[in-house]
Amino acid sequence: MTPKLRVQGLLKTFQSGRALLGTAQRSVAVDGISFDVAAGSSFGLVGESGSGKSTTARIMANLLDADEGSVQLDGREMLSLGRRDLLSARRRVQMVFQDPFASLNPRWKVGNLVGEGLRIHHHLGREAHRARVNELLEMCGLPASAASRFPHEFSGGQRQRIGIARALAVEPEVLILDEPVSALDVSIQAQILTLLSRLQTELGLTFVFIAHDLAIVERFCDHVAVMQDGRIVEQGVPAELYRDPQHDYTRTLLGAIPIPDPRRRDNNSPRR
Amino acid sequence: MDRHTPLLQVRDLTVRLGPVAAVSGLSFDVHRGEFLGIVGESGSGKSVTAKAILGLLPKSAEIRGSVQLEGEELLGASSETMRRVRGDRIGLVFQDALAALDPVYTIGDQLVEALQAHADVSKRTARKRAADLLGEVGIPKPVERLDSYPHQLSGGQRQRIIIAAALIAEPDLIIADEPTTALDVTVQKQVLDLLAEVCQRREAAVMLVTHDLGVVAQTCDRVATFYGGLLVEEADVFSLFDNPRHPYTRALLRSVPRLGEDSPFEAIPGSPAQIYISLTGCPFAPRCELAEAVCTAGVPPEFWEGTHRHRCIVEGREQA
Repeated sequence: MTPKLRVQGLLKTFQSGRALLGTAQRSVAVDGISFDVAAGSSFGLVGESGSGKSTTARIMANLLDADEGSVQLDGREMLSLGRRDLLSARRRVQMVFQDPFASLNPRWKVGNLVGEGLRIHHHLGREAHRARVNELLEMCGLPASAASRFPHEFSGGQRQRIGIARALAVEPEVLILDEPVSALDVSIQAQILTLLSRLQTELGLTFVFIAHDLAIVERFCDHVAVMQDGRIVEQGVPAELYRDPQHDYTRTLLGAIPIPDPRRRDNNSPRR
Repeated sequence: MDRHTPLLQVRDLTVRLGPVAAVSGLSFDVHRGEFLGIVGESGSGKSVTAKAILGLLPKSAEIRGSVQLEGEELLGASSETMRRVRGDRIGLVFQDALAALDPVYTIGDQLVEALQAHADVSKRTARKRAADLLGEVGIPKPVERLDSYPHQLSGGQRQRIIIAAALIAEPDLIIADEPTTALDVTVQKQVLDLLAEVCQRREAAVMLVTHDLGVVAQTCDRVATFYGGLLVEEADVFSLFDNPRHPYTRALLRSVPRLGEDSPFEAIPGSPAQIYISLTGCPFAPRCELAEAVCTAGVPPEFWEGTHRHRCIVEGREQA
């Protein structure tokens, strides 16, 4: 079966500085990675800052060009598209950002924020547009009255619901979730993940879940890939990979997670 | 000062910021050499408490109660006294190391300035001490690093420098407000281990403000849970994790997924509390599964079981 998404040999470098009189230095952010994402599944991409996970996410959402490699959606190339095809590709793959405080324009009402994509991609009449915005808000657990309010009137969790409603407005097939709960209070994280799971089932969505929290990935994802320095060092089913990590870096990463149980204190910790 | 006098004693601390009752009737102690964890979500009053202790709240804040550092009252102390207390007696580690360091001065300049503000030492001595301290917090090539600017260092190194700056005048108490939240887990572990090791060596106490129950379980001796500006539960770390008495603490523990375990992972319904005017009942009642009419009738009293205390009237009633 064709995977929903197939990433092959993805490479991205950034200019990192210029030697005096010399040529530009380039640093490699994503170093030739390949992976498949099955339709309707959740694919976790984990790693620390600088591992290349967010760069990969942005390339997959067509917000950034790759130097080399390909990303296929249902077997069709998504990168290096012309204007018209690019617009359609961007509609099908939407992104939800980490910080719901930074990713929503504070001067726009929630109704406009959620409806922006609708105006660009679907051309509905005024009433149909309003009805669709209300439907999206309710689907994400917000009252329809939210449409006439501003983002600052909402808590972090509610703002992330707005961000999700905004991404869903254009009826995407894939959501790229870039750390969607890491800026939220712990008590709220499970709320948002439950919402995402429900939406995935109801709408048949495929998720790429960028995260640094391995415990959340274990609960949420069917498959996980561990990134370090632009490469995927190991991938597999989360529970199996965590039980028997093969790569040193995966072991280091797992070992560094503080376990929420004082009876399982790290033997090497000075607080032992 | 005898051994049983707490290093820091907070009594009935109440802070109002404009219309917001940020902290209500807060009392707790910090003893020498211990790690006290303060956990809570946004708006719980944990950072406001840290700022109140340090005299860093805006002038418009209404503050009542008492904060004593080895018997010396800090609330209402002159700004000169507080400048001496901050750094000399109480060191500070903030979350955002990039914001806490001045980008246009070298690391050495900033550490020397901090040291000279608290001790009458020559610049040469101060530089020597600064380099020693960088070595102590695990910065490689400390002498060369004195001439680096903050942007030339990684996030983990900057956080080590913030810890070095907090330790420079050898304070008795370190207040660390989300010191590792911005860091990767592998770096977080190094920074926490470093903080623990240095404080143990110097017998300094640590008040660790965090939302991460994993960090608390791994580092703290005692834990206080804050909700809506109220200290709702306090116990030694084992008692709190094994036998949480307040429904908020219980719900918080259930909301954290544990790696490789089939433990519950449940959200707390609703949103974190914002308390306006003043507390008229239990701030957690609107989100609590045990809530009854009595919970909103007044601020719940404290219930004690040995050294474990909580403020849940429903739990407390059953216990009596």
